[in-house]
Amino acid sequence: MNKMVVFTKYQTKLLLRNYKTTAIGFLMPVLMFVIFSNVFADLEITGTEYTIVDYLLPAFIPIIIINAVIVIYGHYYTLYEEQGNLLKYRLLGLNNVTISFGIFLATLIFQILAILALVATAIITSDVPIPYGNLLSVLVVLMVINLFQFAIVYLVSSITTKSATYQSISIILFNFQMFLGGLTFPPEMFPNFLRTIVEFINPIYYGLLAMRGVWTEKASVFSYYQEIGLLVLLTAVFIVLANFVKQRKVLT
Amino acid sequence: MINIRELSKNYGEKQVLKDINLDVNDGEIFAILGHNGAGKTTLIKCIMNLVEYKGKITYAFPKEDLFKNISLQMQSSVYEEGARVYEICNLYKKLLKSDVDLDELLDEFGLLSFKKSNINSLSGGEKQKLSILLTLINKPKVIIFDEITTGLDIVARRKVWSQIKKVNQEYGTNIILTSHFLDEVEYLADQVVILENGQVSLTGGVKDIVKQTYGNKKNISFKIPSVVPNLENDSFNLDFGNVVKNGDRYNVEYDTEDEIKVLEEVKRNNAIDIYIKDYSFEDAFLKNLGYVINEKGEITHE
Repeated sequence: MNKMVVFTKYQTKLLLRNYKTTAIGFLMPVLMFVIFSNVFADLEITGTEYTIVDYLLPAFIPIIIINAVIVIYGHYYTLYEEQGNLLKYRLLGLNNVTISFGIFLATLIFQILAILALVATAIITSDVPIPYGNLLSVLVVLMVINLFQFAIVYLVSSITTKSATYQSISIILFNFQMFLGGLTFPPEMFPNFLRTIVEFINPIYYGLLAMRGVWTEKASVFSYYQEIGLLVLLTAVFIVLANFVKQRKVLT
Repeated sequence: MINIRELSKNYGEKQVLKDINLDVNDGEIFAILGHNGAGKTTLIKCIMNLVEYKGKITYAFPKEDLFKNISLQMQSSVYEEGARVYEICNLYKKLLKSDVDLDELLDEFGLLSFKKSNINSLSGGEKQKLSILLTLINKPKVIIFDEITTGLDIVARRKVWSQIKKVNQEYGTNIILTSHFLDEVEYLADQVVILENGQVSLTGGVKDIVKQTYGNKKNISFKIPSVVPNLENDSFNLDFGNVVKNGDRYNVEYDTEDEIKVLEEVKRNNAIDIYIKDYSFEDAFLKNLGYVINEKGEITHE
């Protein structure tokens, strides 16, 4: 545990020091919120009592998570593997899980800072309410989305060990989830056929529904058991698949 | 310190190491030499128990304390973007629960003034010095350097060599190094094993290998002015050894005890531009295994 704390502190320091490369990704949702909340001001979503702006914050928080986990954590991890840093730290008595989790925790700290910045912006510019009474449900959904993204990284990094290849794939995955998951433009704005496709091929859509529910509608996380269940199931499937691929690689 | 018996390793169908038997003795610098793909790094991984293998490796300490007693510095040390010298030292110190005085160690390695520097701003030689320093933080019994001087210029390489010698002599630490630089092995190593396609092709002390290969022989090289009529082409012959003509130079291998006689004979034939040399480890290596040295000074298969 002590080794994990030491390693995470070191990683966090490095990550914060390299803020120039990561800040753009984290500041983007803040800027997007400012722009979109003005563009979509007063646009109501048919059949609901909410405006699009009410749904912006719970949609932009997953963007921060995806960026932190898929783009930053995933890239760091594959780079570590490629450059021999994983082995270097293994020789210092850290196992792969500790190393991986240490890097993940560092990006999680950065993620929390970015979410706080986004929430503060939303409160100041649009007076968006915070679901204080439902924070536990919000945390559960945030954790599930984090784990789902972690599983994607685990799977992709098991297939490709080259950091440059991973980086290209991660950008595709980031944009695919951000634009086609209803995170940037609400799914209600999608044509019907596209929305149907998204429901089938982009699981983050279910994360978005859960996030909107627990944040804006202040519903309990249990109301979204199907959405959460699907993400947890996919997380498990991706991890099992990744382990299978990794084992095959060790054998060959 | 480390005994290896009947060690074999396969990657899938491919056999990378075959029946390796080695003994690394206390206090010595042990070199593993071989071309790219000869199995050097795999052998290191087996010693560090990082891969599964067939055979037996025994250590002078419990196997479960392997990482405490052996430090490994892999080929081309890579440090994270933005990491600073003192930070990485401190990370190692905390992870290894060492009580070493970092300032003292940095000073000893001439790196104290770079304490707050970004590691990636250091020169290649300084970076490798830092790599050596990091291996000392847990005061190990053995340090393994995997091609630590690859990519360094000759001055930086020499500095790294003296640092390795110093660590071996002052700390009494066993050193195992892999290299494909023959001069490096000759300068540093007490014992050497030469791997060829995963098998031991030659092993022994560096001086012993030279002695076994050449005995008391030396080599004299000289030019003969073409005005001497009977010395053209290969017709020049001496009683004490074979003459080999290479371009405009003659080379003669002779027994050390014949040296005076050889010099007199060479002088009698009006030789000029005379060089006498003792055979080196490089000569013995090339003679035994038929390798060539490429333009970077590395041994190759050609």
